[in-house]
Amino acid sequence: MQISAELAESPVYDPDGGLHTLAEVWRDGPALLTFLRHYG
Amino acid sequence: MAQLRRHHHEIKSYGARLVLVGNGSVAQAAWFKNDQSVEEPIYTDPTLKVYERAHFRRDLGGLLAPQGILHAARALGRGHMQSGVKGDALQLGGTLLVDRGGELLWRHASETAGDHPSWSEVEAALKLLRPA
Repeated sequence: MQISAELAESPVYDPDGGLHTLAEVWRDGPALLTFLRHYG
Repeated sequence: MAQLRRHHHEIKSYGARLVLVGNGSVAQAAWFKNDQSVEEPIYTDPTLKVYERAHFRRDLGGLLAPQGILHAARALGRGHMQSGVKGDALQLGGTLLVDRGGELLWRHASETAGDHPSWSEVEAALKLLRPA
């Protein structure tokens, strides 16, 4: 199953405030993405 | 999350990299990265849209379910003390294994707070990438 385009294109920020799309995470290879409940 | 970080090198040996996604502000993500000495890539979405689009649960039931309370008690017993919620208190998390090109190989969505996949479940999924 393919990740939906809507999810792949979702904007996310790195801790320096840089804007990315989620798809950048798996562009260079497989990724195990852990979605945290919250920080702390 | 802490459990997966302990298996960082094994995850890498399967050709994957561990990536953390959170839901607080950029400042909270930066705080977390420093406070927890996070070396893995970390991203945040304060709008929660990535969680919604990944169909991860967000409701009070997931937090108040008996299983969630048990998970919290076990975590406390292991010395994992929350230092205050930084992010969305109702949001539950999950884990996705995505191959290069965007193929979803495996998915775990938390049904309650503290409902994380076991390492053996994660490793079985990683074997879809390359047998050990």
